[in-house]
Amino acid sequence: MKAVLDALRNIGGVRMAALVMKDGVPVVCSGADPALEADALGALAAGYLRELEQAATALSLPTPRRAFVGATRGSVYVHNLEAGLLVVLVDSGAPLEQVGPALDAAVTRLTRRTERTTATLTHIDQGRGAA
Amino acid sequence: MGFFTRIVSLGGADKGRIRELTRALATDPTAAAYAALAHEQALRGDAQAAARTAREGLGLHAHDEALQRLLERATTLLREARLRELAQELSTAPRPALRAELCALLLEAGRLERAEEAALEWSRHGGGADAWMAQAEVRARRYFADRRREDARTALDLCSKASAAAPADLRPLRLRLELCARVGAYAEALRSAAKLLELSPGDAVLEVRHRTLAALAPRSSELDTALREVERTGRLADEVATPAAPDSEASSRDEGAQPAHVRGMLTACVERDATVQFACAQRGSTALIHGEKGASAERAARGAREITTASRALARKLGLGALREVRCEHALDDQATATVLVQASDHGSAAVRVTGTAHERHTRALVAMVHALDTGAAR
Repeated sequence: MKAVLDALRNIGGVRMAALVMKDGVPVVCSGADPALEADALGALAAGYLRELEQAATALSLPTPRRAFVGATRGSVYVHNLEAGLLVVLVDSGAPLEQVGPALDAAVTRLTRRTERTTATLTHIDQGRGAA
Repeated sequence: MGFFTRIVSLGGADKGRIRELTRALATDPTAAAYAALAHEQALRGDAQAAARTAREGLGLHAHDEALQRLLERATTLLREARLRELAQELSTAPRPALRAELCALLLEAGRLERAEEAALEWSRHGGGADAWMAQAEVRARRYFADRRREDARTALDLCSKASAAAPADLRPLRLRLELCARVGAYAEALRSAAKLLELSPGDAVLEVRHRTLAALAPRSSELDTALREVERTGRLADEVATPAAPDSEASSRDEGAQPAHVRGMLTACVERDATVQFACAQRGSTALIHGEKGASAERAARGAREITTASRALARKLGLGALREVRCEHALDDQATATVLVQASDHGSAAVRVTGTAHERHTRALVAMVHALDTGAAR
């Protein structure tokens, strides 16, 4: 998982990439920001997604799959995965046209990995049941 | 534009083209003709002439987007050229007037970090009250963008220092007045207004401001409390939101606050593009919406406002500065997707809900709406 985040982090201008649980607890993080810890980033992203969920209800939409927030001094992507959130913090002036596709690739890799882990766990559970 | 460049660029063909466009403009002064001439002048590197043409065109066609863009671009080019000149002059013969101009231009360009560096540098070289004021202005601007308490505190401290050094200077008091009034510390703002009136008695605008603040003072917060509240909510006292009340087609709570042409833009956005389900523009407590009716319109406006508010708060808490864009992608059933796209300025925002992915044309339409909201309110 760290390798997936490191690949994102290697794009110029990407300050931090973190995989956090739905409640904001960080699982793995790549890159560091002296002014922001992974815990804080996770908590803010999780809280933000909850607020978006409420707003989406008013718009008769499901919870967003991905949110991008662009501001004067940087941007943040919050991707809502099945098992957690992928949060990417980007400096202003970073090539967003590269970050978007790289984020898609990272999501695909993370989803595949999660599916494999789930399948393995199911297989183990079934084995235990049979024994 | 250098002399040599001017000679080169005034080649026969170029000169002929400009003459041709000028003649076309004289016979038919449309926005497109002004834009074509300004564009040609900008291409030839004559930003000053381009700005002049665009400004003249905007005098006749105030809402033309192409002319507005051209004027902005030409102004940016001129500013960048002047900044380069100033940097050169400051390295050879630094003097206060140049430093003041540098700070003002950097502030105007929104390059706050660079402006603060320039002001600090000036301060180190004995800039005194003027340098402190330049720093205070940067901090105040940063505060209005990020709403962080320390920025406001630093700006106010710098204002106090500048006032102590130059008691007759109105600028520190004006900045203090603006900051305190915008956060809702009306009693503190009233004190600044009173001091300003002592320095410039009979100023009609100040007298009105003083009367307004005197009326608001009973429900004033302490400065610290007000700053903490703004930091918590991310909302200044003059931006307190009330629920939007759109009606069947497009509506406004306060007709005077919204320029009429925003309605036209909303209508065009929804009716000319089949993928747009609704478009919404908001500023202060006013919301205009097109594409939804009745209760759905109200819900949609509320949803768009909540997305903007939450995103503003996130950007502020992450230290990313003022919100400019939000893009929320939603996966619907049967592989379909929907996107909510928001463009925001410091005071207003515009949003669309589109089926599928939002494109550049949606962004352009929203940017124009936000610009119209801002310029409409400034008029």
